[in-house]
Amino acid sequence: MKNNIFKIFILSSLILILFKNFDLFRKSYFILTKDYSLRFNESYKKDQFSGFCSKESHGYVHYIKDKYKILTAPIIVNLEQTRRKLPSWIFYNLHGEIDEDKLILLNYTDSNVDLIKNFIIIDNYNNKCLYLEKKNGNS
Amino acid sequence: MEIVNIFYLLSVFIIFFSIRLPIPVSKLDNSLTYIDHLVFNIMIQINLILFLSLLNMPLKIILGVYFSFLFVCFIFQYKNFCKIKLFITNHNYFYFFILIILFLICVDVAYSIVLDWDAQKFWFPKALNFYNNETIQNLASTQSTVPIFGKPLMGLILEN
Repeated sequence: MKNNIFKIFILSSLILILFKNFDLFRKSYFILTKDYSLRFNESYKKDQFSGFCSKESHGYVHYIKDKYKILTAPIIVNLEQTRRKLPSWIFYNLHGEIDEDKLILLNYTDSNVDLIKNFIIIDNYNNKCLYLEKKNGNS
Repeated sequence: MEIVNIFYLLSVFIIFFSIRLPIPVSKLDNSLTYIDHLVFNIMIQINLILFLSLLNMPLKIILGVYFSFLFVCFIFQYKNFCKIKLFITNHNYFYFFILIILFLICVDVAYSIVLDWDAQKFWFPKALNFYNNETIQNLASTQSTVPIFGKPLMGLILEN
C-alpha cells in the first residue's frame, strides 16, 4: 500500500512537472479560445522564415484562402530578392493543379507595377501582398 | 474544439490499435502484455497501409480495405476485445504516462501549427498525393526523394 502511494506520488509529481514545462494550461487556453486561422497566423508570425505579409507570407496566403473560400491554388509569386519557398501546400492541392486566372503577389513593391497591369486587385494588404484576378479571367 | 479532436483521435487510435490479429503472433502470445500487443498491432496496421499503397490504390480504397480488415479482426476477437482494460490497472502506470506525453505533444502541435522547411518541401507533398486520392504512381510528380513510409497514414489522418 505504501509502495503504491509512493508510486502515485512520483508519477503525479512527474506529470505536474511535465505540465509546467510544456506550458500545458496556457497552450490549452490558447487552443480553446482562438480559432484555427488565428493560431495559424500567430504561429507563422513567430517563424523566422515567414510572417503574415513578409518573407514566405504563410499568414496572408492562408487569410486569402479562408476569406475567398479558394479550393484550387492560384499562382503564387514572391517578389522578395531572397529566394523563398512558395506556400502553395496551404491549398491542399497537388503541385501542378493551379488556377491560372488568379495570382497572389507577395512582397510586392511599386517598382513591379508592370506585373499587375493586366489584373484586377481583389485584395490588397498594405500595398505589399496582393490577391489579383486576370482582367479577362472567369470570376 | 481542437482539444476535443485530440481526445477523439487518441481514443480512435487506441481502439483501432487494440484490435489484434485473429491468430496468435508467437508462442509467447499469452504472456504478452497489453502494451506489447498495442505496439505489435501498430506495426502490423501501419505496414498494412503501406503495403496497400504499394498496390497502386487510391486512399479511399485503402481506407475501405483497412476498415474491412479491422472489422474482420474485431469479429474474430470480439470476446477478447471486450476483456481489454484500456485504462490503468495495477502495473500500467507506464501506459498512463505515455498517454499523457502523447496528449502533451498533440497540444503542443495544435498550439504551434508550423511546418518546417523539410516538411513543406518533402513530407507534406507526398501526404497530399494520397489526400488527393492519387496513387503511388503519381508520387513522381512530387519530386521528393524521402521514403514514403507514413505518408499514406498522414493522408489518411488529413482525410479524417
